[in-house]
Amino acid sequence: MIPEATKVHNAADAGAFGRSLSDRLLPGLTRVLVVALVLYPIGWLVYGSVRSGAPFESGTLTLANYAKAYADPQIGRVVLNTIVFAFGQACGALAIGTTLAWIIVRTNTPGRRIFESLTLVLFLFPLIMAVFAWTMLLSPQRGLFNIVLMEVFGLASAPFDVYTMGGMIFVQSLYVAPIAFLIVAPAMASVDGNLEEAARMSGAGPWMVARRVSLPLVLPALSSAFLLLFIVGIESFDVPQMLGAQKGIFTYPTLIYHAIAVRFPADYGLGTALAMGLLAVTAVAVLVYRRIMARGERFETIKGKGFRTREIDLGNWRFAAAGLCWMFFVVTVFLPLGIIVLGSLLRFFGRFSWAMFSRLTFDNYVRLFEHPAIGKAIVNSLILAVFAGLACVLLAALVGHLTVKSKTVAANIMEAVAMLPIAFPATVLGVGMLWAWIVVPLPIYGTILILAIAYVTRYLPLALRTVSGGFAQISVEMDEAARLSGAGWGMTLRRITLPLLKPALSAAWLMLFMIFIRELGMSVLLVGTGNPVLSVVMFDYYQSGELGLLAACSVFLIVLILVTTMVARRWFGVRFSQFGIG
Amino acid sequence: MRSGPTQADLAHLRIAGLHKAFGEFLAVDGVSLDISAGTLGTLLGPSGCGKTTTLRIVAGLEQPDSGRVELGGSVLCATGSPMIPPEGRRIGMVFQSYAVWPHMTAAENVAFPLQARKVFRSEIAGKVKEALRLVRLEAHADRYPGQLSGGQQQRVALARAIVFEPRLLLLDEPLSNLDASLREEMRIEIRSLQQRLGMTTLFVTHDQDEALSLSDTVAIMQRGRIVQAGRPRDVYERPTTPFVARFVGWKNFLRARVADSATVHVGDVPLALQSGGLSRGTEVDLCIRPEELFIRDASNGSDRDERELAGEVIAQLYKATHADLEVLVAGRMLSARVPASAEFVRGQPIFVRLAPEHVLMFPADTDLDP
Repeated sequence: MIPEATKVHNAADAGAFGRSLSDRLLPGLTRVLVVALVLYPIGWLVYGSVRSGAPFESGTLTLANYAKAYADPQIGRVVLNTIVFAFGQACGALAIGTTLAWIIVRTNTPGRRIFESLTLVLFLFPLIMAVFAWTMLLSPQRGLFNIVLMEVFGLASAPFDVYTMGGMIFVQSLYVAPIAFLIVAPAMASVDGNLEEAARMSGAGPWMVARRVSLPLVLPALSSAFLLLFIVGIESFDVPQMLGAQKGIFTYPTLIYHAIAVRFPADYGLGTALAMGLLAVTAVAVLVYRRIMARGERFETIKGKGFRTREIDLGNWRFAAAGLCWMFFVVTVFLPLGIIVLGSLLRFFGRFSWAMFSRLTFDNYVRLFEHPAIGKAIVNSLILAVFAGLACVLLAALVGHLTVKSKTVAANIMEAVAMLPIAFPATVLGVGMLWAWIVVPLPIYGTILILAIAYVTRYLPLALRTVSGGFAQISVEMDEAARLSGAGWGMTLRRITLPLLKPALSAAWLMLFMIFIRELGMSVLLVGTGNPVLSVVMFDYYQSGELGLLAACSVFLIVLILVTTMVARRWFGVRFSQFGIG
Repeated sequence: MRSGPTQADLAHLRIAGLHKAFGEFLAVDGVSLDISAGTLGTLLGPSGCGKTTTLRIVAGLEQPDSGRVELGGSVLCATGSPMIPPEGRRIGMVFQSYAVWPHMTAAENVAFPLQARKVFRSEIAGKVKEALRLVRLEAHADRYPGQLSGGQQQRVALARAIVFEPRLLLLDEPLSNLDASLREEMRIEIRSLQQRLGMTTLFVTHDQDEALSLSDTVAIMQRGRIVQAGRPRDVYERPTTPFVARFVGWKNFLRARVADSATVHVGDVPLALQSGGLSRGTEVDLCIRPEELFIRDASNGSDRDERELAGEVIAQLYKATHADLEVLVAGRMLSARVPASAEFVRGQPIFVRLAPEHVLMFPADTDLDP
């Protein structure tokens, strides 16, 4: 038999042909790093859940935490809330995202390119800002919509209240709809027009074609989008915390947050036992999701020659469709932006009135930049978004390089481990990280390093998915040709794989930048007192009612996001369709 | 790379007893093959016959389960000893998809193997230029693959494979992605380049025309084994199995039964044909090439010759230089090549003549599946 060490995949490790140190060290280092990042905090989470006392106190092994968490009658209510919220926002987002996708991809509606860009603007819209804007539009006391409706129809009380389950579902649906769009639109675009024409030639009318051919072809995409949205909903922290928890409507993640960060004294054991339950739920959901995804791939249509998607002529209805889209984007993008800008220019944002416009001032901006924490928060957030993003992309590239084209057991295990965090809700990983680093005598807990580690871990799957999309477009023969040209593992990676991957890597980095700059669910648990980040500062402003500062800060964040996006599109030619959502 | 082969560059490829399984599937099942230094050998066979796997084992891209590959006397891989990785083998390869790196210009692609092998920078430019000149691409050195046609990308891949003066050149169906006229041109070009450089070459294809016209040696593969190897003319003229016969163009098969040493029966019809030493009653397959099947009109009431069988015309396909006539004889469809001017009509009775010198006879029920 041939010794294991001489297998082709490991040939670079054999060391007999003058390969550099990196050829021998990098694969092993990557494996160790991935396993440590993913399993270390989860190990602590499990341990913490069966331990009495806070992490920094001595404790004994106990099941009391679970008893306390799951014997509480409140938990049933919270689970129900979570399911209602997740289901509601998934339905809403899927309806919106699918409609947008259909209009943009399949019809001749004017302005489709603009709508597509606006959908991506919506995708980049930080939820903290969205919630904030919608409280100014729909709050019963000072919401602009409520005031206008009360005036116009002479109502005695506000018709809408955003601080309800309905309000939570509404706001969240609008801003996660782009996730549905990003999954459904490519599926719709890949429906071969000939398949539909063949149905027409077989005597089917437009409705029958839609029902029997078009819909079944995109059904796998629809169901995977729905499940992904459902998972996003279960894990969601920003909206339930900022709208629901205020009024005592808890979902699972906000209940965990409450146990660890709001309650006094904090109950780590309770929060951790709750986190274990949430982890179990999302793990099952993710498993089901991946099953469905795997089945969906079998449905993929085989594209013959002359493939094209048929454009549906809406006739005069196309103007109605365009009008609908414009209305949607005015309501979801321009109105919230407008009210935030307006709010940032008012000293006190009370009931909306025209008189406001005579009192505009830059006071908030002045106050914001005099605020001691903000400078540091901006610097910290930028450092995290840029460098943690970079680290995550590089790690994903290494993992991808070692796994995408290799079918060895070691490669499969590493890929599975690297994909695990897809089932870690932010709050859960936050709690795990807390346990994992709070007692370690290294300058990690309380610094932004712990945030960097947490961000990289949780978003490794997303980065890996995006980068894998790039790997998939590079044929194996590209690498093999380099090997036969005399290049080792390292040189092949450096000269062939990485340059070819550049578009996918830049796309992954941009996506992570946008996510990291506004990450709240983990940051709010892990941020050190002297080491703030932007999202947590904004969250604190919101909690303490500093709405003027929050608005000014939001405007700054918008500018930052716009500039980064433009730079990325301009310099790196990043296209959003490369994002490995789902 | 300069004109004419130098003795040191000549490398004899010796493959012995290669086995490779993918799970349950035996891709390569005991392949042995010798290709003399400076000659071109071809692995010919249908898809899934193991030819590409064999090539990839020689390249070092697959690890054989057992067996041995030697090149110019040095062992590349052998059961029980460490395998030399592809980058350590000094083998050039042209991939089916060309695998020209899209982010590098033609010249950069060709320079890469020299850089990887740490050739002095001062020498690289000259060698690249020379290689590009050999494939007649010197004018396109600074183009990116996206700006080149399929045929030009193919030449870049070829230049990249020969620029470092490899000991062996591997060609994996390099012509299958080109259109017909370009394929003909590249075929001639590859052959003349190979002969000019005197480079030992292993070529893989499923196209018998390509294999027969290019090779010094051709080996036909079926289910992981080499079933026949030899000079193209020998293989074409004297296939040793029905599978090989069918693969190199003996398209017509007729089932018959040996009656005596000079007669076989096709159905109930006796046909004069020597049956060698086969015993009476043996079922045999008769193979004959379309161009050696002679058709005669039978509608004028003439009698059947003892070397002829009766049949009827099913279709005539006009092919400019000739016509293909599909005829039904003894329940089998046969194909015959007739002059383009011939005019047969559907249903017309005909006689087909089987000249003994053009008929191959195999015991029946031998394996025909790929």
